[in-house]
Amino acid sequence: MKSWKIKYTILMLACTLFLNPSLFAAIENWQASPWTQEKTYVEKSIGKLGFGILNFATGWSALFFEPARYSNKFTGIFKGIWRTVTNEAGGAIHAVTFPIPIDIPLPDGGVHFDEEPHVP
Amino acid sequence: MKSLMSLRPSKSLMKKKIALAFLGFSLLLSSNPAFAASPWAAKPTYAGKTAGKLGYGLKNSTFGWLQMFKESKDPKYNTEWEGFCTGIARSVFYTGSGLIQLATFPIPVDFPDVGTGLYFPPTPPPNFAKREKKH
Repeated sequence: MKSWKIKYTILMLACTLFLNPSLFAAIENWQASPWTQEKTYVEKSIGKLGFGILNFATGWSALFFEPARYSNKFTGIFKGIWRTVTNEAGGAIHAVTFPIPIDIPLPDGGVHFDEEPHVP
Repeated sequence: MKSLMSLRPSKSLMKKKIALAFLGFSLLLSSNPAFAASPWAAKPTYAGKTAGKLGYGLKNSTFGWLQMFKESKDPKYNTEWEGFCTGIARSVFYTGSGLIQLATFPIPVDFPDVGTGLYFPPTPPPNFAKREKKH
């Protein structure tokens, strides 16, 4: 396959996902970041940088938390790996783009330490 | 090769872009009426403002990093980790704003405006109650 065809396919896939919110929402449980509730620019920037640091520094903890939440260990391990990737990548993006107060929702709202265990 | 070189932005253009970005960022940080100004900005005289700005700069540039430990104890966060990480971000802002305000203290312009900055509420000494009883 030619390189332009691959690029075109990726572009079309991205457009489909971004232009169709229901399809986008069906894949993951995207949640707005907590810092979006802040009122001022400085507070939003601080919140976004802090949220980024939190997710980048502790995103790997999903590797251990997610298997403990699921009764099916394989689902939990897979979810843990996927959440680690999304949390780490999302945290890095939030930390790097902190001066721009535009939210990038993360799946399940990023890192959570207070969730109930054992999801069926 | 020459055509490729001509596509690269010139140094002066890059400088202009950086200056514009800095100006935009400065406007965002300084012209927010909803945000509380630095505490020294309320002083009426030039001497009061510069002294206040110098003190604010010294305090925040020296002790701004303590905010991460203070923020971790804030009950508005679900866990201490969330407060600590937000505190790291706030420490960066406080230390940075403290350094800028320290360097520019003779100019009484409130920039960058990050609010009250590092603040520890005054606490009475441990033997305050005993001393009160004695009197």
